[in-house]
Amino acid sequence: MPTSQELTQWALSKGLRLNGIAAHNFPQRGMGIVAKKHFHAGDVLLSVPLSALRTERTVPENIRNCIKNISVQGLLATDLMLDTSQSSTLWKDSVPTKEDMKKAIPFMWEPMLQALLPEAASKLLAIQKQKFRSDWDSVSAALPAVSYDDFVYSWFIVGTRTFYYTHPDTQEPLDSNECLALVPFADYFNHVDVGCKVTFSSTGYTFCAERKIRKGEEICTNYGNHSNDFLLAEYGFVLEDNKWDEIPLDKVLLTLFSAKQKEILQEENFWGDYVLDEHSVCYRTQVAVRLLCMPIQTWRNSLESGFDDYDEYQGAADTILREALGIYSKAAYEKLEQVLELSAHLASPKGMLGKRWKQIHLLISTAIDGLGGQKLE
Amino acid sequence: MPPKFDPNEVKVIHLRATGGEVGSSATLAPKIGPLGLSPKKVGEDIAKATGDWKGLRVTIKLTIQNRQAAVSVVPSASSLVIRALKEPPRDRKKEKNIKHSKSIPLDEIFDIARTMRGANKSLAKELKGTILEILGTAFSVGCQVDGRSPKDISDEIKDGNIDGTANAERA
Repeated sequence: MPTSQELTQWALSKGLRLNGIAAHNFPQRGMGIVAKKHFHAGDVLLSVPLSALRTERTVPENIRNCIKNISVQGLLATDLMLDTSQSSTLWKDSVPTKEDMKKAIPFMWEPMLQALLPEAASKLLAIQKQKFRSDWDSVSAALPAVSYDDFVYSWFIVGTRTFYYTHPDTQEPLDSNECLALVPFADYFNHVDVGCKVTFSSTGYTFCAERKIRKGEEICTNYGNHSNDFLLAEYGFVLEDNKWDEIPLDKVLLTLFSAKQKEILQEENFWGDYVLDEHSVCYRTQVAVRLLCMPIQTWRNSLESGFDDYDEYQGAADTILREALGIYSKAAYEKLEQVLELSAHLASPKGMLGKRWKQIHLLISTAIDGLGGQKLE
Repeated sequence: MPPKFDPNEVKVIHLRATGGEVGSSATLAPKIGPLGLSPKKVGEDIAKATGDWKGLRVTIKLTIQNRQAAVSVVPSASSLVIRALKEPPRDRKKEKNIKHSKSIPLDEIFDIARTMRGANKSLAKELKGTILEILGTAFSVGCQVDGRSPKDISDEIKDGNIDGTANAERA
């Protein structure tokens, strides 16, 4: 593992401007960024010029031309895997190892562990599998000597580290999954739910403090307002406190509706995507559940004018929700028990899955208590 | 896998509302309901955020992220001109076909022009052009400027008889 000084030197040589910050290797957690002095809100911490990025356009032409039908992520991963240049060794040595990734990233877990993922995380995993399969087909056809293991590793190094990026000349593609750049050094920032401010412009990335930061503190950014299921599936970690956390309720709610009711909800754009966060169930959920306990005409009128939180149907809606959440709670508890029975050599996945299912169970219990025969917040 | 710091995760919705009032959710419900936000609650947030614009029609910008909406008022030329008239608040339901016949000082027009430039809502290259835009809005609102028709004022600015730019930069 390169030292903090070596990485600073290397970053400066790439044209990055570091203002009193440095990379720091945290035991068990890997790289992060720490403050070497005090900062006030608004102070610039780091700026990265566009020349320091690894993008679709910096991939050598011979690689770009020989692989057909590949995502930007796949292309960057191939480039990273084949890159043996001296100038990138230091950075490549500082990112998580293959062993680290195998423990953290659900995609690389055994199927038995993947089966224990929460609903939202396993949906994301299915999408990853499909996208990876297509990239792997393209790469293995063009470069038969490449090992599957190496490619999976590079693919996820890219996936867990890329920033949103569009080239100033190109029309923005609609799919942000294709707007990627690797930003060496700046990718050491870890994630929190409210972090320092990042701006992307035609000159590069700028990181600014959003509050006072004390010397010695770790500085984190916010990758996006993601739920813990998302973070687990895409980045291989779960936050302790996450104000953006939420869980889907589709599994327990969608079965409650008749074919006719489903049709009505689909027509009105209220079918599915029901979620629960730390405050309450979402408005979509409220609307859908009320269809189960309101006369249809009243429901339609309310749909137009907006449903009241405390109308005469609140009690009936709460009862339905309480029952559905009760079923969910039981299922979450069973999953948690299964996770706790996993053998000890799977410590890392076991720890994360256990933590996640506990959070889910707590989220549901809190919601049920909130309903407790009373009005819903 | 989506990238970090993806700006597309934020959804922006613009709509017109009457300042300081909890309007009917009928316009709001179809726009934000399917996104999982409660129209009643957002309606109340809008009323709170537009307290300075009591009784005036204003453009609202909703920045929606994870079922939370941040409300801000987008300055629009007509709203700013009508606010500058300092008319007594009226009940929009009872009074119809409101006429705005009072007068605004020219300095206020300059202020409005500067606000509009600050918000990047002017198409003019120079401040003078923005001032002409605002005078045009004043004309269509039906009010006067310094007791005269806004059209006369803009003609004089175009002829150079009133120095729009110098005046405005100095203030």
